[in-house]
Amino acid sequence: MAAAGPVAVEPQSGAVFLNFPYDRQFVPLYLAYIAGVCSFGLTPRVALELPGGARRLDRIVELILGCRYSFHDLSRVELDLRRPGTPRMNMPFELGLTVMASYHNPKHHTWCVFEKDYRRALKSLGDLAGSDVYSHDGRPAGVLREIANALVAEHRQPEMRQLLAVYHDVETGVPTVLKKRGAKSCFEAAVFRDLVYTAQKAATTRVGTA
Amino acid sequence: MQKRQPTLPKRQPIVVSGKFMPSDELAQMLGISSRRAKELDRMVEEIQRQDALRLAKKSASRKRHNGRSRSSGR
Repeated sequence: MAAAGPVAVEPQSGAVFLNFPYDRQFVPLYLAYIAGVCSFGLTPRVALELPGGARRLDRIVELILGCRYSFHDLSRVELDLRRPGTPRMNMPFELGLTVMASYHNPKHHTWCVFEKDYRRALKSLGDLAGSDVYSHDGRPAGVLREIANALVAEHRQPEMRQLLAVYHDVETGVPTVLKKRGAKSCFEAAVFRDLVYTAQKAATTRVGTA
Repeated sequence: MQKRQPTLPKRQPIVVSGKFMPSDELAQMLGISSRRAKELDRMVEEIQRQDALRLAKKSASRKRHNGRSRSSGR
């Protein structure tokens, strides 16, 4: 397949590309990523925000290049038992794209890998040996803890109880947001944007003002 | 010979400013209308108000319980 050519995109300093599966079981961790990233004053970006039109792969590459950081959750890289039984490849594939982009421009992109158990990542993706893998135990509190391990805020470091409080606010707001947007799933662009705004608003009061 | 266990690599945290973007700027960046942003502001305020009430009730109930335990222990 012909390559679309290099995309010239300046990364947004506070943008974090989140690479994870869009399925119902992942919702608690999805909310934890939004709450955690926003609590550090960063802005999460996901592929589901991308409008239609250009080829999906080009849009994903552009989104990755437009973010200063990226978090890749490989905890759901497993076999989908529905026929035909296939492994889920999107997350490792997008991690690969990111790693390549960061090799070309190391000052413009920093990536982190999150897993349920770091040994899983080392087993399924041995090339990651020597890279940082953050183990979240498959729990929202684990995601928040590991985001706090991955990031250091110069201004003020959020405490775990503050991160949990922001998560609580976002989680509690989900039914209202879904109802207002007439959405059935959290994985819709408008819902995602509302949740990001909610998380940052909650973080401003729970963690501290700018 | 004992098998070596995989070890965690030394982590280098990412340093970020930690400052929050003003709400109106964030809403604009996300493409959220000012009306919708106000609705979300109110929703968060209400959630936090309810949470504070819940915690206050829990704390009052704990204090009452502790008070009773102490007086019955005399």
